[in-house]
Amino acid sequence: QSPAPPARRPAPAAAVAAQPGGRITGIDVRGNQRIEADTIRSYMLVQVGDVADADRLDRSLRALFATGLFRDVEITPQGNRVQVTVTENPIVNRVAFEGNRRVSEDLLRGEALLRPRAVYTPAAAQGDRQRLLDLYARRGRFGARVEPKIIELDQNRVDVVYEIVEGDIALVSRINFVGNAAFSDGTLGEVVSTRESAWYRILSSSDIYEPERLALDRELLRRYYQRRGYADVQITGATAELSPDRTGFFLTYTINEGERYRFGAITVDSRVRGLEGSAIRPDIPITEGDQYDGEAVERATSALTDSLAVRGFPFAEVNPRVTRDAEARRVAIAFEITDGPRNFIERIEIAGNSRTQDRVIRREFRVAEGDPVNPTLVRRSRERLRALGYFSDVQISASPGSAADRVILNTQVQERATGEVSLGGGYSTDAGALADIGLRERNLLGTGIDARINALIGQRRRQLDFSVTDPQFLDRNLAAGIDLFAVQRNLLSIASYREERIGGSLRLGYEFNENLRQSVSYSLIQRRVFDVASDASRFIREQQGSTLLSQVSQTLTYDRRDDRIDPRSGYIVRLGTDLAGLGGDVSYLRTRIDGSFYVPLERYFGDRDYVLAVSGSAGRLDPFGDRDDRIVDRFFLGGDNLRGFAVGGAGPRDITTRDSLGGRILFTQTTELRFPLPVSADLGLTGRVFADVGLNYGLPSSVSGPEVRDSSSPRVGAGVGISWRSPIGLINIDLAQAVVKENYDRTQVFRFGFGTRF
Amino acid sequence: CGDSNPRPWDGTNAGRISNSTTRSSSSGTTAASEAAPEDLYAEGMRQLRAQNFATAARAFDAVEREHPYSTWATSAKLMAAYTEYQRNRYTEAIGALDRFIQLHPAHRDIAYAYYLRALSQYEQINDSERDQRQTEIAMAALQDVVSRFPDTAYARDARLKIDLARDHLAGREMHIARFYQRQGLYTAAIGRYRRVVEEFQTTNHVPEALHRLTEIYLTLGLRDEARRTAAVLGHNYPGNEWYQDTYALVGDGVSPSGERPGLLRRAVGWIF
Amino acid sequence: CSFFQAAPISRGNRVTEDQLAQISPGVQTRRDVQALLGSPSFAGTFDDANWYYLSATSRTAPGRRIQMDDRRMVAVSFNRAGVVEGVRIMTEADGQDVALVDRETPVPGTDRSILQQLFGNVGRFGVPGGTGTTGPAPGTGGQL
Repeated sequence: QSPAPPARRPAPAAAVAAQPGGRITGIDVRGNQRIEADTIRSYMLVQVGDVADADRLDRSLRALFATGLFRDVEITPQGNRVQVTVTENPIVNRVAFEGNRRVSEDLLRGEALLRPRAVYTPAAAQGDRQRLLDLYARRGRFGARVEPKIIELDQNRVDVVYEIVEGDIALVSRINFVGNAAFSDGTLGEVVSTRESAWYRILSSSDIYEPERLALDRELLRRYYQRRGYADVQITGATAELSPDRTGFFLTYTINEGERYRFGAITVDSRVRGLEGSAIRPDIPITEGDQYDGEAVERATSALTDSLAVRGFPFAEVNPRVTRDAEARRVAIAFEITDGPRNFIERIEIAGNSRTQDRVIRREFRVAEGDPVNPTLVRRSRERLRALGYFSDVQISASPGSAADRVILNTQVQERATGEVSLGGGYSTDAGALADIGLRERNLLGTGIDARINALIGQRRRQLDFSVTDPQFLDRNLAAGIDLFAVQRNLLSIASYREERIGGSLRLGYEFNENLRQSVSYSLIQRRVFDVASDASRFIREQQGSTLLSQVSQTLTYDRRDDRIDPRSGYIVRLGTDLAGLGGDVSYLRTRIDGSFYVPLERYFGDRDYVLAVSGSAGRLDPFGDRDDRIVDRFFLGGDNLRGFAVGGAGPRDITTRDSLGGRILFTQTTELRFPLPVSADLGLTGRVFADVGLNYGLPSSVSGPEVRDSSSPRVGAGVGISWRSPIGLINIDLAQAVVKENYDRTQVFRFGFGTRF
Repeated sequence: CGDSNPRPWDGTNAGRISNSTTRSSSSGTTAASEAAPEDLYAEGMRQLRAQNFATAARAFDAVEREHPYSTWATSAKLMAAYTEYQRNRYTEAIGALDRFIQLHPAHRDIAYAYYLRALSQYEQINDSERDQRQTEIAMAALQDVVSRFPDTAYARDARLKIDLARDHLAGREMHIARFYQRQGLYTAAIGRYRRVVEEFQTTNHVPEALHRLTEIYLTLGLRDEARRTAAVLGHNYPGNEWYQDTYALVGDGVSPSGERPGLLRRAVGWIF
Repeated sequence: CSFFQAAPISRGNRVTEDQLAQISPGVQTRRDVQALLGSPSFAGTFDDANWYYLSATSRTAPGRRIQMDDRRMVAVSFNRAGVVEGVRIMTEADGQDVALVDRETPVPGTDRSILQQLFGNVGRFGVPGGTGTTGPAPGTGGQL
């Protein structure tokens, strides 16, 4: 049925009684209730005094219809007057929805354009019907039906009611692959984003059948094969048929794998003056004979562009020419370097930042107005903007400038709420049951300042801390921050005392380059040892009371990991030195060095999630001046840094009272193999097997006696662990056995940690 | 809502509207209070004067919904928009005004409708360090008022607001220019300062822009450029405090009437 | 680059020696210079007689904004006929340190108070600006 309103053509021209060429003396308007006659006349093309020719009348008719205000219009010339009879479209009084169980009313109201007091037209109702159907299709309900119903009211008003029959959701019941010899159905099942519907997927939408996702899955499959040497792979088909019982869809992907290739000759031919091809050949991370990998070519291209920019060729363009030799199954790549267009940035326009200040965005740019247009630096600028976390989306597009070689970079940011209120709960072996509440504003007043306040209440730990950091103080490469904190820990089971630290610190941080950064800080902390158990060791009892720590410290970090949150390759090394004694009651120099190395095992296990993490740390405390070091400053071994032992369970101890005394020297080393469990990746289960070695000794001369044990023999703990990223939070379980220990050490086999944020 | 017998619409005859019997109202909200439109309207005006805008808005809504054909409804639409404007609900005000303008293009208060719509855009202007698209939208709306109703009081106020909005845009350019200058990216800074001098001549940022240009030229060692820029500043803004700074900076007594580069006269021309 | 140094970024329009060799006074016109060297970084403020090509390499340095190294300026001056009159090369040495005036011309209108900024955008962006002038009430029309 045609949605256009039934326009009744004016009476045929022949019926025009007026003599041709006669002047119109007046236009009478009939049938209008709400709209004034003048308004109707103002929309018409013929005015009083014009010639009443049929064409102009027809165009007036169409103009009146175009306003959408009228359901029916008739223009009939009578003598030299023109009569216009209109029937106005009714006004919508109320819009209601019936039968919508799965989708909320205001979501539907958001889709429908008909609003109370708007003008009702059948076309608008038809448009809304389609919009509601699209909404349901997006949610996988292809069988939904929507019927708009009209209730006429007085004074030419109507109520619009959309009657909805939702139908049930179309799920994917089976996925199968045809023609895959190199990889099993199981592995490919993990590659595509669609999943077969299963009981544990009630929350996820990955098992809903969505046509657009078929195209995405084809691309994912193609790229998976490309990365593993199959240069000729074609995904010839991705079809979905409705299952016989019409409850779900069968998806079938047909793959034509082709041959597996290795890299052939890798050459660089440079057509840029003053640039030798061989000079930059080492910058290409591909070696001849390696297994072919489609993405490696892209990575090599951008690596080359980077190194060219650094060598002062910002305009050089790199395009790889790939030649395939089918018999030898070799792929030779020639990187052709040509002089790209010498374009310069005329202006960088930033839009969408209604909260964030312009300079907070502009200072992240690695290019400025007047600089050469360098795609790598523009891409890096966009990544830096995304890493800020203030925006849900950042797009940078180029548009022509005022001259041929001038370009305007238009940056469109989409801001999102950067204020977070976090509530958390959990249990850990060290702190017991705990709850924490945090308030954080990552982009305070749009100035880029990160301010947060956290409170944590646990059985054995209570903590309140507040910190403010400006990541680029005065737009400089200088992060400045202030922290204030009050921590109370119950160490009765470890060393029979409670400890309280109240203080604050001023921080400054800066980057030498992408990998090397340093932070310097001054801290002033009041520490108090109190509630010492009556039967505690005499060395603990003499530590009772408060001491003031005034300390300057620095941390130098060299970070070559591939990812800060979930590293899989590379390494990080940190050197920390604390100097206490500028005032305050204690004076010492404490140095710590720690490092972690991540070895990717994808080559052996064929899966990126296998990672070997080897880390170690060493620390020493050297008091100077006449004052001995306090227990609160010494190192403790056991718990997190030596699994298999209780916190402070391996180290100097008073064996009569079993109190741990801490030591001046600490050494720990951990080797951990992380691997995915043979369960679907959606469950978020990862396993690990580990071996920890630790050493903790060294007491002040004043702490000695028959009951004191201080041995520098190494302790070893080994075990297995599992982490589960469950819908309610992250759960860590470790089972570790103390393999090498002293008889007076305190061991702990089971460690449990559970934390959630909501 | 328990409508008993909605008329089936088979989509072909485009919802034939029969003048069926008037239906009793179905849900509570639209209990036809049967108050006369003028009483409702007067109530709305009283609430408006008493500044409780929410009740005023409801009263004007009622006039429009229950008596859509009375002339009161037209004025109620305008008053409802004004009430939304007072409650700082600018998007709703603009929506109501758009409907008013479409339905009553020849209404006596149409100039006011355009003006109130421009004001609603103007009030949403962000401060000059943030996104200025809203400023551009507001300027276009204000310009619309000036061109449609040139000799009304509304146009006079609109012209004033256009200048204020233009000053905002100039302010943004200056913020960006100062940022680049402090970073030592002089090409970028010069480009932005010159945009202020060329495209925002009527704003009061021009003296500072000229002074900043002198600062940069001296930093780069372009003494003659610095002197020429100082001369333009001196000539056009003799008493301005920025000229004192420039004079001190350039130092060697550049008299404002120094040698005039060819284009100076034209440059002076469009500054005024 | 060394352990402590950041990768340099080339800034501005660098005119190389052999590009410079092709420019000789009295020969090229503005269009030739534009073709050879590209658009200038900036021209004279009020006249087109001088074109300036400014370039440098920049590096991030701890605690500083941006560290600019080997800043280089090539100034090409044209005579009235639009033909190259002279080419000058200037480096950082030719410049001087200038103390920047830290006064700023105030921007009228919405300087939002802290509280307004904090809660101004709860629910929607844009804030009831402080421009003060509220619109006059419409004419009290509406009589029959």
